[in-house]
Amino acid sequence: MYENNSYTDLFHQSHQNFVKEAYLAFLVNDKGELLHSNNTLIDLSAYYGESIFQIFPFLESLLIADIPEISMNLIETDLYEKNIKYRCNIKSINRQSEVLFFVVLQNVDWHYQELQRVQQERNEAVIQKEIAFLKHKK
Amino acid sequence: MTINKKIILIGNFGVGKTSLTRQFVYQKFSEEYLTTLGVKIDKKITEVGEKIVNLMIWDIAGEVTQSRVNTSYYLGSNGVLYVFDASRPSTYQQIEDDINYVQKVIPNVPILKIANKADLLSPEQIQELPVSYDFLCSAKTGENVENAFYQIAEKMIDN
Repeated sequence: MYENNSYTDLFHQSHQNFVKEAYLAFLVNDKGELLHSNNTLIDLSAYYGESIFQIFPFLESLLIADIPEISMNLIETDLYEKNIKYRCNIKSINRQSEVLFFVVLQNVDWHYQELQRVQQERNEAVIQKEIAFLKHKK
Repeated sequence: MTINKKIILIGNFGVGKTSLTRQFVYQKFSEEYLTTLGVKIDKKITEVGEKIVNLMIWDIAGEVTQSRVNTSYYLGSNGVLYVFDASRPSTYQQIEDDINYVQKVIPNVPILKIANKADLLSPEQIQELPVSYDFLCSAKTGENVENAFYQIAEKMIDN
């Protein structure tokens, strides 16, 4: 028998573990100052009011008011000496006279390996084919 | 005062963009080819004349043609290193079209053409290369790597 309540807790627990915790979301102003965050992946609360560029320097070239949304499927960089891979989405928000940016970073470490393997095989095959052709030509 | 500048490395896959970046930033080289997905970002602080430049280096995954690259990666770029493998003609056959395309997406940005893997060619083969370039480099030996990054940094500051 289906009992709605019996699934609610499991859903919220799973959501917390597998979805919510996989996203770091934060709001910054047009100077890159951090206004608020959900503080998952890393705790940014100590940086409120400070420049987000000291933590994510790559954002400096991406906070562009004229572009409503920017998406990047895979960014690989070092954070606190740890290599991480994430998907990045940036939405600009116009609020009265303010321009704000809502940034979402999704950790994609878990499926990076699989994608990398497929791409690696394709690239290596193409390169080896060309090298073999060039050797044969000589 | 520190100046922030963003360089992008573009070009076909397997030409050595990641190896050039690794050589420049960490003075390291590996024979193992590991393909890049999306973009790999590194930074290096360097001195250009009397200026301190914080270089953000965006090593963008190689594609056969640049029109297949997500243009978001180009946003805010101050300079471009277009890298090709001097030993593989397929990696420089698109060079003019690619550079024209990049100039449309990010106009007025300096671009240098980098012929990489010089260590795989004999002096005769280098002389016969049917393509022009600004620097002949080797990520493996380190030849001209520092010079190429230094010159693009200079051009970005002057631009």
